[in-house]
Amino acid sequence: MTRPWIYAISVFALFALLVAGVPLFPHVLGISVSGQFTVGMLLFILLHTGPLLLALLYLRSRDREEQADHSK
Amino acid sequence: MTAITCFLLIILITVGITIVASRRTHTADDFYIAGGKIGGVANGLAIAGDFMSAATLLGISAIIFNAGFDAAIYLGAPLAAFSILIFLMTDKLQKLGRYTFTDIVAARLKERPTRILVAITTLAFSIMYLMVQVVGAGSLIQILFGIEYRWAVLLVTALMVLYVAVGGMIATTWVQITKAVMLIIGVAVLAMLSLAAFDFNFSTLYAAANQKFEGGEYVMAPGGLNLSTLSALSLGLSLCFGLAGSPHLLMRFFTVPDARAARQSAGVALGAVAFVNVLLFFVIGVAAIAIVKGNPAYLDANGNIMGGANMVSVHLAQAVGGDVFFGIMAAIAFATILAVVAGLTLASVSAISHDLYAKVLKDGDVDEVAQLRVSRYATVAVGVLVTILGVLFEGQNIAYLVSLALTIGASTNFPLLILSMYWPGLTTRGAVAGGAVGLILSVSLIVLGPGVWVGVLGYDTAIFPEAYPALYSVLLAFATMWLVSSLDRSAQGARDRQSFSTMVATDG
Repeated sequence: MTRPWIYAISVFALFALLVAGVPLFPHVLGISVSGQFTVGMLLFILLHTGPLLLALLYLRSRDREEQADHSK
Repeated sequence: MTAITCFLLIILITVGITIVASRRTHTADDFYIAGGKIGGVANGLAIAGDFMSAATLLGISAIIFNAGFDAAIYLGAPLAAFSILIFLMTDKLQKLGRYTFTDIVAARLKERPTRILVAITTLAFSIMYLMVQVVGAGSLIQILFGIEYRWAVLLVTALMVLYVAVGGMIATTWVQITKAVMLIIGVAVLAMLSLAAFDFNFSTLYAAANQKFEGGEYVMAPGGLNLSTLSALSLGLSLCFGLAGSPHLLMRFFTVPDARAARQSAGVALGAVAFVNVLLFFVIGVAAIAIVKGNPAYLDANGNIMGGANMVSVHLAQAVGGDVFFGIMAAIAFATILAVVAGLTLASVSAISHDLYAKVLKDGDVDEVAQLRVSRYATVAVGVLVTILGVLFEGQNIAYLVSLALTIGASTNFPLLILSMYWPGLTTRGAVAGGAVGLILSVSLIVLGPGVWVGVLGYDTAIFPEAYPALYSVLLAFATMWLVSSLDRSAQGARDRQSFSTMVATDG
């Protein structure tokens, strides 16, 4: 499996965890991590930061690949 | 008075942009893809502007207000969808498409049936999605100016026709960029003012909200929407795959000069959407519960929220920022809707004038003047249809209606596009059969489901019990495409499989 697919599936899996968690394990999502901050809120934060980091990594690597192709 | 001034200012700015853009719109390239000259960052903001619709600011706030944590499903979906776009689709879209994403599907399958099918699915999706935006705009104008809902709907569609018919993609892009920047700043200021009302103390804010929240034990407790496992999965699928298959978003990747700019666009859009989502979820929605819920200043004679729950973020703006900020936020919400309807109208019009008229009816032998004329007639026709639907669907929850529109995109455009790009075995017969199954099933299940059958048509019980039908329609569309393509032994099927290798070679 290529890297873009791994990235896309990782983000989709995180989203699927959030979606399935609401009806299947709401008590787990409701567990407190710190005060009123819960596992569900943590998952939400991960879903909103993880894709940005992966996108940044991917965009940089694609730029490098294209530059290498041009310089050949 | 302030609200009216802000509204008029927004209309003046956007009409001004349209007039300037119309002077630069001479060719079909200019009309459909802004000449392919939009920069990566500008296009990223335009994509964010295109995506963040009435559902984002008005509908999502309403869901947090009523159901708390479960709104995370609606907010998380675009992140997953944009990731699919960035990692799997942007390069191929940019390299293989020209005006619409149908160009990519038609590049490896038999052109005529493919274009007819995708034009129909694009129209079904765009008109449903357009109708949702118009419902939001109608409620917003009604509450601000006290004018009748149907006249409010007419005003929005008239502006939408003006932007697209006169300014094409250049005007649409600049309206979307203006709106995205205004929305990002407006949401950030609203979040700051809301937090300031609680001395920037999250614990005080959440304690106040938890005390008033009626959708569950506390605001961030999952389960407020009472979704069954099937419904939750179905909703998640429709939102994620529907967004990744949205013709108005896909079309934006043809407006940039190269693949690098296309990837950059998707990255910028992802960042902008994530920023707005986090503020909506953690601050604005929660503050709306704490401040607006039960506040007599925002209740009508029956004790309900004035203008419905869709208006809670606008009421919150008034509560924390006074009349001036209320006017600004209402104008931003209005600009949000205008920008999205312009993008959606352009996608519908392109399906009619480029895919159906120029490529199918005229077999590609059409001059640009005639094509542009058809585009403008089509814009007016779409405007009339959307006005009628907007009046019929008055008062429905915007975010829920959006999920239904996205079900159509998830069941038709997304399977077609992803399989065209990555599965060598897809044939024309498989694509047409699967696309037709996805379209017929998604539209019928939406109509027979509780949202339309009970909510709009007024029957007591729905024929199809599930509120979100995507799980069935998406899986059956994929399964039909796979099965029919696998059984296809025709000469055309062999050519379709062969053309995948040619497409991969072109893609590099």
